[in-house]
Amino acid sequence: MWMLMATTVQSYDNNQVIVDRLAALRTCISKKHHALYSKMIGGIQCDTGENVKLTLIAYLLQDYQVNAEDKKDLDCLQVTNSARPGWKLINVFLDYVQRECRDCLTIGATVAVGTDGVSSSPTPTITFITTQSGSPLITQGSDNLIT
Amino acid sequence: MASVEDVRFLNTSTNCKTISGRIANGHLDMFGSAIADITDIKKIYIYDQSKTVQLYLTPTDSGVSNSGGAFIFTATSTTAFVGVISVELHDATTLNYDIDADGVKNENAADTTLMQTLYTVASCQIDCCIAKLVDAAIECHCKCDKCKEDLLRAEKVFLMLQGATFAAEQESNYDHAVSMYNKANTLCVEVCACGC
Repeated sequence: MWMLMATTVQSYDNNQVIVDRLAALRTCISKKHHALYSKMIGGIQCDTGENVKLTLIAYLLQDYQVNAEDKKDLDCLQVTNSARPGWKLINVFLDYVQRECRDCLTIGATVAVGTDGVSSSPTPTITFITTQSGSPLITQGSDNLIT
Repeated sequence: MASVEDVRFLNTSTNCKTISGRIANGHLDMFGSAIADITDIKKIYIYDQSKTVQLYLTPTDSGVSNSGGAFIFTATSTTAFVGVISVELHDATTLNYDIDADGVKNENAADTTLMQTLYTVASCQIDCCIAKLVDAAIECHCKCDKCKEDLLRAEKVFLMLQGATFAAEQESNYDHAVSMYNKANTLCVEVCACGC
């Protein structure tokens, strides 16, 4: 039986979060690409969609992180995501990394959502339902269960 | 932003308004000859693909130093660079001077000798395009192949941008760089007319 615990998800307030996510993302990409490699040499038909998504996100986050001393608010990853009120593209990507690369992340680590403290838009706080071991519970559609 | 010592030749900032560069003694010029002494560089002319942004630097300007065998510069524009950026190194200061005082600058470019041209790519616009396409792919919840279209387009755009960057920085092939950058840009702005 699952024991449910709540993990509060906070908005990031420094560049270290991006650095940590990138490190996990690179590990994740390496694992997923190796899995792809294994399927390829095994003659198994494989979809590269997730690999491509993660690779492109890594490219965008890398640029965002390397140039962190610039005015981040001018970066295109600060554009508001239309599908999720209060979210920006950077938050969508970090959330996606959290979801797809949870095996490579520190258990119980927080994920960046919200607006990075920008006062012009709200900073949502989302609480994921997690197992006792800290892994988020997910739906059949791979979305995190949230409260 | 990475320090200028970390970059090989040129680096553009995230917002594509600042470009920095480092040229050291022995750097090969466009004819395969090394620039023996970087103090020969008297003027730098920086412009983007459409020449919407044009900057001129001299060794005495702020943000420029040419000591210790390395010419290091940082230049900031109020407008973002777009596309392939050219950085011309000249050995005379006459470039962009109105020598004959007829009110037209830069008509006497022949008076100066172009030592070398370096290229890089300002990727801001294309990066934003990739970000939006990836976001659309993530947020798409269709069960058919519809969701793949944005991702496939993002992949192509990324490949074109990467090709343009390598052509500019590695091969110094301006035409190839511009062609691939323009293709990436076209992929970003074109709209499928098939309703798909």
